[in-house]
Amino acid sequence: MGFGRFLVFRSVNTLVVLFFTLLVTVLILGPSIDTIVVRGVEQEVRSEIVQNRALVSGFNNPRDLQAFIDGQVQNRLSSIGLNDPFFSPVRIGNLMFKIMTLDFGQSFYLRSYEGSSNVKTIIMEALPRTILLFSTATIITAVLGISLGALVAKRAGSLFDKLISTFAVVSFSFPLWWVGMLMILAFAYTFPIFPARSTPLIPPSDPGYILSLLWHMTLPLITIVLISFGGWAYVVRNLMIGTLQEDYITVARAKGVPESKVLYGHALRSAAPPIITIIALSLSGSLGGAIITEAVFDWPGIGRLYFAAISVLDLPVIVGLTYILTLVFLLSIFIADILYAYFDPRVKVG
Amino acid sequence: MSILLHKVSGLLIILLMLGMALNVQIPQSGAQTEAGTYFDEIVFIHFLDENIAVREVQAGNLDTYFWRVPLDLAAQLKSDPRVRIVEAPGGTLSLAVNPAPIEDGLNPFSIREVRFALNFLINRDFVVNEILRGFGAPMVTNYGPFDPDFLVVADTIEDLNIRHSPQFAASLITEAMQEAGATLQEGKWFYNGEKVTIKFLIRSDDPVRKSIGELISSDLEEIGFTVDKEFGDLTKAFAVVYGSNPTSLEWQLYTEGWQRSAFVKFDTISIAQMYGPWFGNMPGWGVSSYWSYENDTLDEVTQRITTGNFTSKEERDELIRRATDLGMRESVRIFVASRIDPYIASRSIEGLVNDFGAGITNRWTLINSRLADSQGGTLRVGMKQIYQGAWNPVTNMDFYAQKVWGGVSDPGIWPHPHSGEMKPLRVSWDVETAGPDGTLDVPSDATVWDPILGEWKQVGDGVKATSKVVYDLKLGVWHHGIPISKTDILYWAYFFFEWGTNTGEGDQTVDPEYTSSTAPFVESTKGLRFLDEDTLEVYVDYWFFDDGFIADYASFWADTPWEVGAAMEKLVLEKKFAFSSSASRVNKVEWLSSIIKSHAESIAETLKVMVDEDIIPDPLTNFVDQEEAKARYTASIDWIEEFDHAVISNGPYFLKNYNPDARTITLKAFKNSQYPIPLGFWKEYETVNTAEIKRVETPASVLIGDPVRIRVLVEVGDEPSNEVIVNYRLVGPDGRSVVKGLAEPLEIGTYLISISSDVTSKLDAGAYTLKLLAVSPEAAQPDLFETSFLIVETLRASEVRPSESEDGPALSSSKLPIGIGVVLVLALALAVMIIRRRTTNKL
Repeated sequence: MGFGRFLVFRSVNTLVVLFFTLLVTVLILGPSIDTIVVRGVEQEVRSEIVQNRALVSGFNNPRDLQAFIDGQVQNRLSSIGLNDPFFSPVRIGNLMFKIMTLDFGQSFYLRSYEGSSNVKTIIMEALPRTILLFSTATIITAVLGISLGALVAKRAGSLFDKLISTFAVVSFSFPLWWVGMLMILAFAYTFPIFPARSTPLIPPSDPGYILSLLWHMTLPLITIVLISFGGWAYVVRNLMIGTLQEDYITVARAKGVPESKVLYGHALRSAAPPIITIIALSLSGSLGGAIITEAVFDWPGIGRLYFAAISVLDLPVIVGLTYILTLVFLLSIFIADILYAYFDPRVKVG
Repeated sequence: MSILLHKVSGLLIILLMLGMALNVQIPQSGAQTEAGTYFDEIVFIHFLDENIAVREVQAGNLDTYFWRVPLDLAAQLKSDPRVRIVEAPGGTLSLAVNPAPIEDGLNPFSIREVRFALNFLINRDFVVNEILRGFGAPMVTNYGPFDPDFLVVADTIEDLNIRHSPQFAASLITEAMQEAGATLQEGKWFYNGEKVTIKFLIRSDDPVRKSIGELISSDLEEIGFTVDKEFGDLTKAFAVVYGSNPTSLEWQLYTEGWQRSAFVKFDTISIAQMYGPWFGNMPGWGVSSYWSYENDTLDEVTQRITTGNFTSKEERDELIRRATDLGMRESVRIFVASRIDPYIASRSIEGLVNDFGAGITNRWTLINSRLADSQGGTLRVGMKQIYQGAWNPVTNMDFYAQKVWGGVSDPGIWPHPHSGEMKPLRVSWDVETAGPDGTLDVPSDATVWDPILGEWKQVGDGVKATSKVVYDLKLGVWHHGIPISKTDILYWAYFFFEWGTNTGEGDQTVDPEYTSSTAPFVESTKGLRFLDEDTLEVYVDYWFFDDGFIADYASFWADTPWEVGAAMEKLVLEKKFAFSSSASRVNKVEWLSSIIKSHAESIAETLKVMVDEDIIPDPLTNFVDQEEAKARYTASIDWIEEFDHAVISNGPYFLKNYNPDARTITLKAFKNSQYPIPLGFWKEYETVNTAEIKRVETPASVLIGDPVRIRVLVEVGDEPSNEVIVNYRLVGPDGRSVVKGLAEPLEIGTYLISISSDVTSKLDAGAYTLKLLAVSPEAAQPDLFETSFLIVETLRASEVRPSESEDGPALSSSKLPIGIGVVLVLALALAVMIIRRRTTNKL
């Protein structure tokens, strides 16, 4: 298969997977969420009425009050588009078409901090923050982990290797948010070096905003890197150990090729495909953020948005986020496949 | 070098002066004067995680957190000298019981006696002391000890003698189950050869409710039921409990939790919510296709309470008692405990006001709190959420926005934080009523806005109303410096009539949320007229036995200048924004929010159009001239351009800044001589003047047939008082009530309970418990007290035995175990000492 056909095949494949993922998400979530939201709206309306003593006093008989409650419920349900049955082809068709074209509509309940109920705006408010923290952390982690993993592979069995391997196992077994709490306790309160809150209080228009932001996000960044790089190093080490025992490495060494070139130019390149996959998956996964970690560091990213949307069953936001993250994931796989094909020509013809 | 330093310092001085110049651009038309607040500034900072927020308060980075502290932390924090924990009544915990009958099996909870028996199975003291760690109070009905109406139902509750008695519960259940055909085999209930199983949905997202669920499950297992526990969150509850037909028996018990409803002196709605099937909050949930729990008597009684179908407070109280009694006997909803919510504040902050509804997270705390011995500075308030929904004067703001808005805006009338009574703030009132049955004449020159003709219309002759309220308005000045005038009240009155009336298809001034919720008020408002610039007379078809409630019902007040309202209305009519969330979704436009920069800019643009086109809103054309209108438009435009928002109001702080990136909101003290509420106005509310029973002088023993006189010493706010209601009840050894009533006031601070010889002559010998409940008119939270004495057959001198020492705190029966414990420990210590001494001697 030529590279062009390979690209077309992968593109179509990606689109089909995207379409079916979306369809399954909508079909699975839709009916149950409809039921739940209807009950939720009814409860919400009744709770609001209980808080409004004067309003209730204005009704002379319970029928009027009941009619008012029913009217309020119907208004709200129709405003969020739940007056049609879920399986109505128009509703599903419209929803699918709109979502495929990145029109997620308006949220049921959630708002962006800028006051918008447009789902795309809400997501786009949170996404850059998640990229800034989690994707940055992932990149740092990858660079650190790969470099360290390659070094450790070269010294397999040494004390350094044992230290890194142990650190990897230990650090990977701790929940990120828990370490985050410890880091905050240690470096925000016991030794008050960093602020506990990871976003600055000054507005972005302030000249010192960027520096302040970097300073505020240092603690969560260090925490994420600290927890993650050991695992990376361990994986790369294991991949590299096998590669370093290959005949062509021995030949390269015998030919007098410098050790750093052997390590990073030959061995690492051979081990690159699985590492690229991990990088691609990690980067796309990083866009999902981390719910509790974001709460602990008060970082208003995608993880928290997902959690908030699930908490209040804001279907448009849930579907929008799922679609965006699926899209990013598939794109990452797509890019990884292309890179695979670059690093290993057998892939595109396989 | 020195030249450089000189230049730098010169530059710094210039920058400093510039900064000062910028800082003094606080909008004020009047002379600089003392503000109505102690702090110069409040910053609300978003902190989602309670644990981190608490740490921030401990570290001095926050002064308080406007959200409750986790119970496990609160207990530890009590001993931290850096912070104070303030406790306030919180939500309630209850059980929903599914009473639906099934055809081919037995739902034990379809039997009323089994449901009622659950009351005796639940160990409420354990829930409060162990699960809630003392942050709560047992609760057996809709009104707990923190509710003003608790006094009304106290006797009703006592009459049912609800207590923790698994044996009694088992006996009730056994009788009822056997009658239904169930059999108890090896400790388990069987029906038609099958184990009687209870499906229990336990909320696992709330550790307290999870523990309560586990506790009750284990009690149910103990008495022979097989419990099928299912754990889940609210989403699961919506699907399983609220989203299924009760007859499908997908659940039979559910651990409910309720937020505290608004703290008012006289409840008229929560009793229907909790016990009235018609309200749609009982199994069946108002869904017509489901089987629904029905009870005509409860419907009738709770409907009368809710719709005000009573003629006096006594009648309303009697209805409340009937509903409570019926609700408890029916036990479709069983109350377990009332939570106490702990809130945190720095020790350095004084003047916190603890509201019985919201704790310290209220407007009075914002206005009245201060640093010890100093004025000025910044109050830093942590917020769980900072922006959840739109800010506009038409629809209700969300919970968090209301907290901030409380500092920015003054209401006309406000509920007392401790008694729930309606109090005047920016309006005082004089009520005249012919209700509940009579009517008053509405003057022919009183007006209403006619939404069809689009003009103010005199009501004419022959119009009647139940009540008249004359309001004296303390108008003051808006934050942008324009004096508040009757035109502001008129505009919002117009808005009330225009947007509160749906004239039919094509009516553009309809909002799905506002219109329907305002329509009942519009219908009952018969006319209004200004007697002078700051005196307003309003006629309404509404009666309540408390004048404050009538005044609250009929009041018109403005918290936003009319020109901002008019610009908002224009934007909504042009379909660029919507007033409510529902309308925004229907019209696919943004929900108008005056705090959002882009929305405020749209408001400013509209105001500019109004300036250019000499627009004066229709309802004000006869009251405002072009010059005045333009002055207002310009002031609001300038405000928006300076502050990037359109939140302009009348309160002691003005909104300086909303920073969506940092998620902070900053308020500044509004220093203006025309602000009418003086500094320190709220100081008296720092102290909660609850009644306290200091001492009860009971005899040690009483001869059968002898009269008994018991003196009760009561204080309010550490001062003896006779303004208190002291309710007493004597309970016999069998737990039944013998006599009850109200203690009579004697000299100041002393009340007398007289039990006649007729009563004591009918008593059996034994230990009797005297239960007392005292409520101050200034704080609706009652003080509960228990003591006991003996009724004896043989002649023995009755001696007066004060139940506490003169100088010590009351040793109520609840504290008796502690006293016994202390004595036991001392005795033990003494015994150990003696033994050790003997051992030493032996050695």
